[in-house]
Amino acid sequence: MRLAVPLTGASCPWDGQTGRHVVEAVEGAECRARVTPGWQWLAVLAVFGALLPSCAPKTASLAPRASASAPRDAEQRIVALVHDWFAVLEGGSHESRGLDGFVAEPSFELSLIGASVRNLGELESWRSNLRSTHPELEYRLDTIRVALVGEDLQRARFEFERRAVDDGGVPHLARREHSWLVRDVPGEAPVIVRIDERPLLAFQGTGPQIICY
Amino acid sequence: MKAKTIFLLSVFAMLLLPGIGQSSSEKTLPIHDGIGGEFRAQSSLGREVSLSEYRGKVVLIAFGYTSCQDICPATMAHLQLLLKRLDAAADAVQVLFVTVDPENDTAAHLEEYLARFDSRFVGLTGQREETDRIAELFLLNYDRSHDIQLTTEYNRSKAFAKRSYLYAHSQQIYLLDRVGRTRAFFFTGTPLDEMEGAVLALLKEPAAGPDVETAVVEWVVERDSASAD
Repeated sequence: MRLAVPLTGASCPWDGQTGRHVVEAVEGAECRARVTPGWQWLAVLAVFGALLPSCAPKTASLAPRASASAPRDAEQRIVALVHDWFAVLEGGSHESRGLDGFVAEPSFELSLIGASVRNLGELESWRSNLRSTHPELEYRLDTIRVALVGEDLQRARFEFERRAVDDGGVPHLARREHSWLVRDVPGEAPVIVRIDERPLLAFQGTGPQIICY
Repeated sequence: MKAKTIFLLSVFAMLLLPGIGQSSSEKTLPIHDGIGGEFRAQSSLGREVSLSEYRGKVVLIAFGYTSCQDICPATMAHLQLLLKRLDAAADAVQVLFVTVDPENDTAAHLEEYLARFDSRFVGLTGQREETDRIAELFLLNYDRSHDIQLTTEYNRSKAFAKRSYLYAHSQQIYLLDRVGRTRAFFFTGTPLDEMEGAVLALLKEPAAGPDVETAVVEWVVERDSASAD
C-alpha cells in the first residue's frame, strides 16, 4: 500500500465504497491512496491515521462541516461565474444570453482596456462592439484565485489569453490580467461589482520580465 | 491489412496537406492587441519624430540605454545583422532605440552610439515623461539602481561617470507592421532566420499607407520567388 499524504491542511474525506480519499480541487492540495484489501489495510491505516488526523477515515468526519464547506462553495460559485462570463462573450450556444444577470445593478464598474462600463447599455454596447470587431473569439483562462475580502465580497484574480480573428481573417492575441470584485450573498447568485483589466505581454505566466542590466 | 495501410496513409496525407506550400514566414503574424500605440519623442535625428512617421515601414523597437554593458549592445548588433541580411528590403524597415535613461542619453549622444551599429537606426529620447509614456505603451518595465560605479572605458571618458547607475529593463524587441501594430516579439537570441521571415512576411502584406515603398516590396516578392525556384 502506498499512501500519498495531503500537502496542505485541506480536508480529505474518505469514500468507504471505493476505498479512496475524495480529492478536492483545492490548489496545491493532493490526497490520493491506493488500497490493498485485508489486514494490511487496517494496520497501515491505523498507523497513518494517527499521524494524519486530517485524512483519518473517521466516521465522524465523513459529513462535511458547514463552516469549512461554505468558503469552498463560494469559491466554486465565483469560478463558475467567471467561466460563464467568458462563455457568453465567446458566443456559440450562449449567443442569446445577456450579460445583465452577471453584474450588480445599478452600481457596477468594468474598467476595461479601451472602455469604462458603468451601466447595462454600455455593457451591451461594449459586447456588441467586441463581437463585431472579433467575429471569432476564444478565451483561455489560467488559474482563478478567489479570496474573501469583506462581508459577502470575494476577489477573483486570474490571467487569460484572448484569441480572435477579425473580419479580414487576421488573428489577434491579447493577454490580460483581471481582478474581479464579486458580491456573493448566501442564497443569491453572485454578481460582479467591479472588474479591473490590465494588459500583459504575451509571455504566459511571466508578465513583463526585467532581465537586462 | 491493405485497407488499414491505405487508411493510415490517407490520414498521414491529410495531416500534411495544410502545411504544403506554406512556409513559416507565410503565416499571418497575430496582432497583439493592447501593446503599443502612437507616440512622439525627440530623436537622434535632431528633431521630434512620431511612430506614424514610419507608417509604411516595418518597425523594430528596442529599449535600452547607452551605458548598458550587457544585452543592449548585443541587441543592437543583432539588429545590425538583421538589416544586413535584409539587404535592399532594409530600406523598408526602421529600427528605433528608445532610451530608458533620457537624462544621460541625449539626442547627440544617441546618434553617436547608434552610428557604431547602423547609421539608419534612430534613437528616441526627451523628457522622462515622454520616454516613460512609450515604455508604458509597450508594457516595458525598468528600474534604476543608484550608486553603482561603472568602470568601462567609455564611461570613464564621460563627465557623468561618477554619477552613473544601472537600469534593469525588459529586453524584448517589438516588431510592428506598416501601420504600427505590434505583431511579434523577439529577443537578442532569436534566430535571424526567424526575424527575417517575420519582417518579410509583414512587408508582403497589403499596402497600408500612401508611402509604402512598393519597389522594395516587389523586390522581396521577386527574391522569394527566385529562392523558391
